Amino acid sequence: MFCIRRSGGVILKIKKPLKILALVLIVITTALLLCSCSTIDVDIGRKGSGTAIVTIAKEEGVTEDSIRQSFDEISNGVKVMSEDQERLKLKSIKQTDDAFIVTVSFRRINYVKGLGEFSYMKSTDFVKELNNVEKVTIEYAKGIYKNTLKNYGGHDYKFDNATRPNKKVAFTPTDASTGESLEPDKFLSADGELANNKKGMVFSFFIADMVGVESITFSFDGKIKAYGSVNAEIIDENTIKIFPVIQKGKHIYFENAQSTEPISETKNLEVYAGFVYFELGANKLAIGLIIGVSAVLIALIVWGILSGAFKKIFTGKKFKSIVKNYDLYIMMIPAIALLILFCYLPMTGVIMAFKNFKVVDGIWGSEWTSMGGFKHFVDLITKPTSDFGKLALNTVILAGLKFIFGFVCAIVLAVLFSYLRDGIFKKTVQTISYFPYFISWVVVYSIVYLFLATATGTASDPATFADQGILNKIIIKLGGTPIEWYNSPQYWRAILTFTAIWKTVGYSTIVYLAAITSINPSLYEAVSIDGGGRLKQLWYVTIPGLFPVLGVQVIFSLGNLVRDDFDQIYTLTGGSAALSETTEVIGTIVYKSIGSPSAYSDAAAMGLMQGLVALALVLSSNKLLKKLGVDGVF
Amino acid sequence: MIKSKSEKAFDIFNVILMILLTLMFVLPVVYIVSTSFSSNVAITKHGYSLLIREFTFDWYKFIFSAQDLFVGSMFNSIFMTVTATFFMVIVTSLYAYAVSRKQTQFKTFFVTLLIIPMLFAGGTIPYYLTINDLGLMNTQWAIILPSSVNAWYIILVKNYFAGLPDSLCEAAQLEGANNVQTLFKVVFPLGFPIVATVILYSAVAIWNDWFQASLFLDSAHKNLWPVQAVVRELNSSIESLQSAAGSGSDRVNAEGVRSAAVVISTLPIVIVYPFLQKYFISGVLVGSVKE
Repeated sequence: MFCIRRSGGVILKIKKPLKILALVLIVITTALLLCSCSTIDVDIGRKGSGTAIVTIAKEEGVTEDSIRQSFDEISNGVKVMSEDQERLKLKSIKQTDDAFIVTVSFRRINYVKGLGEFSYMKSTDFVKELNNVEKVTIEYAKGIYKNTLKNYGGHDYKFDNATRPNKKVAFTPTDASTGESLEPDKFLSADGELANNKKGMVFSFFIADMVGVESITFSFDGKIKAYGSVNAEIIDENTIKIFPVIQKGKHIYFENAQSTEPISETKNLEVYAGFVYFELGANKLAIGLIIGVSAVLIALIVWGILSGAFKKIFTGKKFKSIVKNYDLYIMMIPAIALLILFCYLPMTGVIMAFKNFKVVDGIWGSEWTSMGGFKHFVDLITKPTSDFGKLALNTVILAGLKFIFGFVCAIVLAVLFSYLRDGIFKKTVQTISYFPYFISWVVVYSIVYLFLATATGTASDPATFADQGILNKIIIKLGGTPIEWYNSPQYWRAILTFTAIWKTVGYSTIVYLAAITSINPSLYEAVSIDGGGRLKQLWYVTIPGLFPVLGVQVIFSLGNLVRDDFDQIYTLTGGSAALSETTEVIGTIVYKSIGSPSAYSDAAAMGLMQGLVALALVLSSNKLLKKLGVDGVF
Repeated sequence: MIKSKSEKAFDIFNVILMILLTLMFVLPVVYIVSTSFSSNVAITKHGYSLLIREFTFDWYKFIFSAQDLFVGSMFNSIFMTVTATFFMVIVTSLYAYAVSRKQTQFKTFFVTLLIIPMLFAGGTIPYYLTINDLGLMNTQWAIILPSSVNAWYIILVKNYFAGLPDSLCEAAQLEGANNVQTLFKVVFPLGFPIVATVILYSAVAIWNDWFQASLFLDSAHKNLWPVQAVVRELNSSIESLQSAAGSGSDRVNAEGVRSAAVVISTLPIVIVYPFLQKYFISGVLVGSVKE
């Protein structure tokens, strides 16, 4: 399968420094030219992964080393084109008297790029995709060759339109069992068999320029029902052999890594193209698992009956209590069902942080990333192009500012409240201070905008004073130049901290105020008898009295140190790029990734790291507080 | 106790400080309200102002007549808030009652089931995909159903229920009431303060939400949007307004309309807030003690 041979390769003018390199290349090219792959056998598994066995006839220049070398080149080229994923792996090279037998494993053939193009999907999806005009990648499977094909290492192929086979002639679907031709439009129609067979799979392929390959054999994990290809032969119910057709086209490529001018060459290209429709066989793994699990269950039940463990359980107190109060457990069902659907089910979704999420494959079907699944995490942390460092820093700085100032302001305000005489004034002030907690950030945006609006005029249409926000009006009145708030990221840490405190400070005082009022008045008297004034009372009685409550509050909000107030930040900044330097946090990036599935796995990885650090902070602070003698939360 | 001079001075200073603080909370609101009642000419000439200039109802008339979207969104918000809060009360009190009863076995397990989601969540992306997989995309149920369960509310209510005298429930059950009857006839009325608290929290949270709406209701389904999502869109693009206004668009003042929308969207909270205030204070205090 990997023995795509380059033709051409005569180097005419070589600059001196490149001479040695060129010589090496010539040797390799020659080796490849000599390599004569006689057959390729491809075995495709359920998820599109499998093995390919390539039989290469023994000839001069073909050695195990030369095969390894060219394989490395191909697999690297494929890796570059296939989203940097390791798609091909050399399993083994065996020798017989007259051939090398090379076994290569491949992962997810539909994502292998650079060795032709493949698709492997459910037949129901296939029919849907056919009608989706934008998905030209599978047009060749429809019977229409794409004009171009890009292979690894910058090899481009352009086919002559004139010699492209006519769809209906070349790709007439053929029934695999009877050998009869099927009506293409009916076969592919939305109410045909293809569109409705839940077990149906379609594999389509388009491979060009495999010089020296006689045939390619594909075998599937299921029964082949129909196929469409120019030259194909059914071997058995799972296997089909494809022979190439010759097509005129241009091969465009670069001589070597240093060349800038591509070489274009018109020639006959050997093309393998077509599709195979088959029905997936029974999933042996799933059947095995079911049998295994039920065997264990049966064994347990038998053991339970024999040993009398069941008898104990069913006559025990607990069981009797459950039977008697069965309605208590029924009462829990609604909440448990909702918790499972909306809390626990999404939790299992974090698995996608370890996978390369693709919509067609779903969370569970998507493949694991390299590095044992941790690729996204490693990339986020180590790749210089990743913004993760900045995001994490912004998140922590904003959260830290709100954390510190939030506590300080709430405690100060609670103390000040406590000095007010009970009455209408105190009540009014408190009631008003709680209120902002209940208004939405969307409304707060309007309020913030009121202060920060910036009018920028042009020479012909100067900004009017009236259009400026309140802060800019004040600045202008004081003789300064108005500030473009929504273009000045340096102010936004302060703005976000201030607005967060504005919104929550009154509400946060409730707890502290309650703690202050519950302090035993005799303690204050004791301090005052000793001659202490209010300051001393505050220091020796009030503040220590707040400690237990403060402890619990700290644990509650410590996890917030790495969480971002997404709602606030995104609403107030509108996710503006101009402010991203200080206001782009993990939450806003994750939100922006919604709608572009290729970014989901990265976003999920960021979210997971954030969640885990928050969890660690909460649990460890809880433990610490318990050790310090303050009651923990959990 | 006789106050010293410095203490008196401090008290006066404190009162002044509190007045300033109150202004800090109130003035922005006054600005918005005044603007919503000021005429186009006045807003163009003076911008936002503290006093109503050239009183007009134009902006309110506009959002209620020209803006089908806005009126619809108010109804959407009311529907979602009421439905979700109703479900939440039922689901929460059922579970809280069951877990707070003495007879319940495996209590630790059932409480842990609540604590885990409070400590760790899957994150936005998995949540989004779950809602998608459940087929709730572009329906209001994507917001209503998840809002019907909140582990924290259940724990609050559970703690309160557990503090009620057990003898009352036993008496009811001796008279033949089953657990559901006991809950709604005995425990629920006694535990109303805490139920009112979670009603307030939940209703405010759903009313104020735009995030879930923006995730699960795309712009082709604006007719399902809650009011905060619409107000947010007004904040970012006044164009949608102007096209709705049609030929008279030049007479529409963006600030005026925005302010009116903000006032209307907050009004329900302003109306309900004084009645529920005493409850939420008790709720905050219940929540701040150990689980």
